[in-house]
Amino acid sequence: MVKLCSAESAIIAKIAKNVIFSIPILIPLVDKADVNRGKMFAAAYAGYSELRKGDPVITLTKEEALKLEPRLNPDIQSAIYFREYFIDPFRLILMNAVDAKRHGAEIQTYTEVIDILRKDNSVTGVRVRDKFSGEIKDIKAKIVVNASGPWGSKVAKMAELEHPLRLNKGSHVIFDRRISDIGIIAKCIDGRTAYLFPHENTTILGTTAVDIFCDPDEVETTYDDLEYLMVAMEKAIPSIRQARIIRTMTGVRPMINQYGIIEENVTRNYEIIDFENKAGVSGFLSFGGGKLVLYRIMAEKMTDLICKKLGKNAECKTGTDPLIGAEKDVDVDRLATKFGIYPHVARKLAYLYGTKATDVLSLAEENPQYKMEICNCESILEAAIRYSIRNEWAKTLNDVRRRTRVAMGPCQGCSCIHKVAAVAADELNMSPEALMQDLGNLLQERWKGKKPLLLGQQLAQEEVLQSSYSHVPKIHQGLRTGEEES
Amino acid sequence: MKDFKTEVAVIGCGIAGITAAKKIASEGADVTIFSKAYGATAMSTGVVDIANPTVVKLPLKPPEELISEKYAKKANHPYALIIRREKQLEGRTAQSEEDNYSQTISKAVTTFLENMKDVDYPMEGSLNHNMLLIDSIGSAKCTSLAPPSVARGDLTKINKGQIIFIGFKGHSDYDPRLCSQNFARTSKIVGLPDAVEGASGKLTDFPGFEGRNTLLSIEIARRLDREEGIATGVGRKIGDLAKGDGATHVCLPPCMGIDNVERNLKVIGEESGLIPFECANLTPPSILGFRMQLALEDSANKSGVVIRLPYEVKKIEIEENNLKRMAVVSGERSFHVDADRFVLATGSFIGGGIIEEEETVKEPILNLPLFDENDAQVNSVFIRRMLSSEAIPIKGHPVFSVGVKVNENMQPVSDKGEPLYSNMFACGNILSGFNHTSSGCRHGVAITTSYVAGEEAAKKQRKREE
Repeated sequence: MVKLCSAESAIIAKIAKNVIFSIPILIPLVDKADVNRGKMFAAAYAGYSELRKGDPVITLTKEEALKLEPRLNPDIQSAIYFREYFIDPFRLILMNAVDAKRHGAEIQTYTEVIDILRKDNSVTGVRVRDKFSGEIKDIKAKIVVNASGPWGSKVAKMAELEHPLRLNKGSHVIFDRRISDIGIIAKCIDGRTAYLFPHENTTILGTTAVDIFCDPDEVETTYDDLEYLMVAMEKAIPSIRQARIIRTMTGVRPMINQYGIIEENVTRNYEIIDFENKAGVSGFLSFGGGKLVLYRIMAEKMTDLICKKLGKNAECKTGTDPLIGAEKDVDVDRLATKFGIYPHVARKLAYLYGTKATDVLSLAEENPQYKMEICNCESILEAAIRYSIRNEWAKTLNDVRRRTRVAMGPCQGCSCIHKVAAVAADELNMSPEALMQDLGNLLQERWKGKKPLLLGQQLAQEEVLQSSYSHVPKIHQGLRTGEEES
Repeated sequence: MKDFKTEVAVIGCGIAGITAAKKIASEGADVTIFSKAYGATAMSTGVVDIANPTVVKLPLKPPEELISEKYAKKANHPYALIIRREKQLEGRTAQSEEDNYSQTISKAVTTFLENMKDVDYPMEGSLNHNMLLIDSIGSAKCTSLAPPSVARGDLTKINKGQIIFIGFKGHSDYDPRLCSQNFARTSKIVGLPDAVEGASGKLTDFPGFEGRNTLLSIEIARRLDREEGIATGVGRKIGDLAKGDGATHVCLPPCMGIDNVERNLKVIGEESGLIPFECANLTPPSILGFRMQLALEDSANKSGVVIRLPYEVKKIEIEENNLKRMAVVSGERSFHVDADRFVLATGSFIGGGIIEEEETVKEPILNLPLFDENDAQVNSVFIRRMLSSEAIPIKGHPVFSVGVKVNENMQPVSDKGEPLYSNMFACGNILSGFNHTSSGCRHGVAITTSYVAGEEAAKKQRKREE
């Protein structure tokens, strides 16, 4: 498994080179037991560093570790130092979607599968509902692939098939800036590992593992989730509570359904279930388990199976051909000079779009005002917002947010969302009515992540946002009209 | 600075602190303001909401009526306290609900307007009229007192007209096209007569700002103030853009200057042939808020009130149930300030008058008991219990109603209603009894409660019964 992950990690670093970044990580070793564990980790990791084309794992003395990160708890024996790759998951998915489209795929967002069509022992297609218009229609298909992640069981049930998954919630706390330029590992109360990683302009602290049984849409980050993480990281970085939390983030792992063992020991391997074999029903294939680094190999194996069923013979090139934008490194300085933008803005564009950054900036050729900076926290230009709407299936403000990172910085949209709204309204030709509702949706989505741990300076920031928007009608959830007296 | 003494110490230099200090000075007492930084006032909308209606629909009831009908009906609202105090002083029964007109509130408003006029930052408006403004995204914003540059956009006063929306290319704070589209929707919601129309919204390169793709409000304001010909160029361009449109008014972003707004707008008006006005500010940064802050400071100076900024009051020592001595920090220096009376005008979360500590709310200087909208003490209640699941609830999140409870004399009290210290007063957003974000009386509560707090804090002697 480790070998596979290492190999894949090197492939992804190549095919998505612009959205990959590597950070050094420190594992502080507090006692003898830690030191021994550290030695085992180093040994296991060392074997794969060449495969993943990364740096070797080294041991640092306490002094060396504290020099690297002075905020570290000095009560340590030594530390392990190694490097890991990180990625912007939204952009990775987007790049894959764009690439799929280039190869002839059709992508339909806001199109919810509400039923899977069956004729006797064959799955023949899907029934979908357009979330905007409410229109329902049937789409025929020779093969339906269930890649719905934590909703896998729910979707399989639509085809009257069983694909049990073990759903497990993982929460993160996000801080307003880089606390350290290196990642820090700490031990949780139950022996699990917590990590503090710099992530673009912010820092993330994660993660929990709680088995859940509700619909993944219902998960909430609880106060307990977050305290669990803070208590752990306090041991490694005693001053962590002084850092400003801007929001929380929760995801659900769609793990293979292994019962009777703790989450940590559940396999992270993936499964591809062919229901022709399992239940005698053809035309339905389902994913389970896996982890982000395995996404490509999972897709490759699934596609191999599909090709076999469809009688197609073709070579898989996803491991060698770069995704759109990742063809080569971008000369950030040249980009900045050519388009007359600040270097840090160019750097951001190069990171998000790779070689396509020139396409984004070219929108400003005819309309120079598209070089206007809309989101100051994340340095996002108007051109990026328009590009995401024109070329990246962005239909709502939340879509724009995921693709461009507007409203994901410290102010969580307080200063910029009305500006993003103005641009989106122009680009999407939205009626003011629809726009205000969408603005309300964006604020509601941001609130979901802020509410569980709204503290310190973020509470003051929230007061600013509330004072700014409280008088705006229809921004309130539930579309209360001006007629209601409170 | 050595340890020193002042008769009355006011903590906070926002609209509440300065208004209180001026009242104290006018009553003949010596007063000094201490503040750690700018707070909510400097980034606020820069207009004073005295009593907004819950639902903004024409015709708008005036603040006077709304205070009587709505705000004063809530027993713990600061306006209700002010009215009760007045009745007590006049010997009227506190229960006479019919007569909720308040001389005190009226005097407070008049005094505030006089103070601002005195420093050449006149504001228009009164208790008899609520204005209807357009904000920078085209939604309706109601207010009572506003500078003329904004008041000229009062839609209730424009009987007939056509408003064109024009903005600077590269200035992301104001998109005139969105404003113009939303105006049409807003007109329907509030019931604006057809005679007041919205025309198109246009973004343009004004002379002197060509080719700019990131233009800050402060730059527009400063250059209009300081550079020769900028206002003229803006006016002419507006005139060109509005030609043949039939427009009578032009809605501009709220940054038409800091020191010379009226002069700038006069030039723009003459050159364009339209009546220019500034829209209301939506989110910070706010030039309007900044202007108000500067005018308030000028006003303090005019009364001989010194503002010590940045001077952070860390704590206050107590002696026999009286506040006595403040421990103050400014940069690397720390020292003590003795005072006979103290006024807390430290604001809500934005200014740090109320903070979060250990997941709950706290008043950081004296650890005063804090109360919610229903007069329940909330000192150990978890913040998350005071948050609604809606992002922008109509009534606001309960946590933003949390504050210090005061009696009619603006003295902070315990849950039993007894003054905690005989020589301490509080005013502005630090008070409980109203939601600081959504109540429709932002700054209105500040100028009225500070008037009373100032009057009380100026008294050298207090009768035992009080």
